Amino acid sequence: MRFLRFLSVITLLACGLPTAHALHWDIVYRFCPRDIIEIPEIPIPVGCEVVDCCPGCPGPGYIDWRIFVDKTILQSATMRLQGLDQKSLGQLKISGAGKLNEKGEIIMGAGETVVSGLPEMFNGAVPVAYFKTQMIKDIQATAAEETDTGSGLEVRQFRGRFQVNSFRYRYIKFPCPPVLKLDRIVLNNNTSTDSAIVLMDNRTTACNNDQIVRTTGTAFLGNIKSKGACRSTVAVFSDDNAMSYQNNVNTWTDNAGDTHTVNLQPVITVPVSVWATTNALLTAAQNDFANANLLYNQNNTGIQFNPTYTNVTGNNTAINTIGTGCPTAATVGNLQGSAWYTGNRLNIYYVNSAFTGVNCGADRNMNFIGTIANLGSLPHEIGHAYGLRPSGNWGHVNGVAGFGNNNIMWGGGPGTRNWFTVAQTFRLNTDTTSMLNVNGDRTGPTETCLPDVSSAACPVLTLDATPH
Amino acid sequence: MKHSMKSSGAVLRLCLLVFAGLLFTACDNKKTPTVNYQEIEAARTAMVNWLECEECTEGELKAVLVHSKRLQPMFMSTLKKGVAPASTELYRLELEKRYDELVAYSEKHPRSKPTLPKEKFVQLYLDKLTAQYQSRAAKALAAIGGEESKRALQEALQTTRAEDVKMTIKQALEEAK
Repeated sequence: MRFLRFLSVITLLACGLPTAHALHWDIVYRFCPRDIIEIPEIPIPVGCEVVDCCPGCPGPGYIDWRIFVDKTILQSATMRLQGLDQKSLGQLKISGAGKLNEKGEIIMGAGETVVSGLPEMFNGAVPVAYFKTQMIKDIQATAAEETDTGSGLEVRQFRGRFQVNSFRYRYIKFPCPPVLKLDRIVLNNNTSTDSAIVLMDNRTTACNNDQIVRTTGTAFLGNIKSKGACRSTVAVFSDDNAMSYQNNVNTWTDNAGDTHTVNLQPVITVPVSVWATTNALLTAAQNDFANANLLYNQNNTGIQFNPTYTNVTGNNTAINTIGTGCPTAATVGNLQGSAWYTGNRLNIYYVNSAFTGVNCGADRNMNFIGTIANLGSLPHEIGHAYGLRPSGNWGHVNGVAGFGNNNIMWGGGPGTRNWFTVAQTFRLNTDTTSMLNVNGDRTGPTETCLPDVSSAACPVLTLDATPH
Repeated sequence: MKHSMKSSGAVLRLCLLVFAGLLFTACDNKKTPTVNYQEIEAARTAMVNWLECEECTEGELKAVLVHSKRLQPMFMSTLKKGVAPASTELYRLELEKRYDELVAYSEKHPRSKPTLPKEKFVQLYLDKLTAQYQSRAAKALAAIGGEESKRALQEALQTTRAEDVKMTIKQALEEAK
């Protein structure tokens, strides 16, 4: 049996593999090496992504893993398998860059490791592997590397030659700005004293676009010169503070020693009307909003939601007026004029119909959430309401280079997706069509930035800095 | 000793021959084009994209229909069994982690306090995922059509307890070609 498994692995390696693949998790982190944090342990379960694994897949059997550790970013990875006993671990066939150690962990160097003979269930439970990755020492980044190299750690799961699941974690480096103590930016009132993200356009020897520095209080810069013909902006993204955006900064002189001060303001608390048509949907709404508030703050949007819940369970007039989906341009007035709509604010309708969610074209203050919505549906729909639309213009980031399905605006993917890029957060706050501005919840400079447009005023949508 | 060495050498040569034959057969798709792995993976990808899409406005169902013959049995299984155990386990782990984050975060941000205990929070969203997969499977079978699809929908209507999924199956039966 072990010999046949060995043969199947060799055949798998020798005969080539399908290229396109569905990824259960496809996570992207963009970072300046100086700011790198510890990468948390990554759990990956053994088994197929969908029931019956794939069209034409052989019946129940073992799963083989093909693991890639990318040497440009990682020096090694350690895999700890939870749910298997020592005997089962000993029966695994490990080849390539990996070895089983005395603790029962598989230590993998850079390159490819194949682990074959993994059972999908053991003692009634799904075995789960936990990966800990180690970055290469003295990691540096060049400007040429700031592209999606598509590498880091990848785990592809096979039954025979059929791919049945896949996970990918990509790390994209960008060069850190030099630390020169000539000019500086000082942040006041950083409520959480977190490492805020400062995004700037300015002039040094030439116009600089979308420079990022991080600081909890004072960020030291090179000699930023008077703006001349260049844009001069400072945007600050921080936990528990509203995004600050100054689009005409005149502090900088041609001399060193300038200090630009940013007085951060309290987070913007947005009133939201939530209408629940059943008791179960009310419970879902409450927990969805708890999650939305966590994610919007973790991603430094500077926005928190203050929902007012109205339970219309049993109220047939309300339920019929609300309906089960977006009204058309012709009928939207019926809902707008009813007792179940609050003007000039987001209205979220939790309705008894099996769909996930939608932000309404006829009125961007209207959003409908259905019974099969996941934890990511509400923050996603609010993202559309707040300017990240239309879907076809990177309002959905599926397949857009540099994005993974951990992004909140992925049109699908895992329900626990949790990431906005800095550029998306910039648009949530400043876009002229964001309901945050239209409703008057935010007052401040605005820009017109479709998601797929990058320009002097509009950062490219993938612009980001980890950690958030 | 000589005899056993000779016979073990023969066994090794036989194994190598069998292996070479397997390798040749497995790789030689041109002469026996019965398995197109890339197409199978494309079908699987289309299925996952449809099962998981958020607003489903980007042709996800259309992409599924390109592979209807391959995917019909998969959707029938998904309608019956819901989510694969590995995907359920991963989501469960992530929901538990998210719950712990919410509880920690809500100490200074009360608006983020979950209103359910951990087990019920996790089960709420796991149930929604099952309902999502089953609803999408029902819609796919309606679009694929045929007697087998209708039979699967009718059987599921008898056994499904979730009301929203039941409504979707009823609608699917009305729409099935």
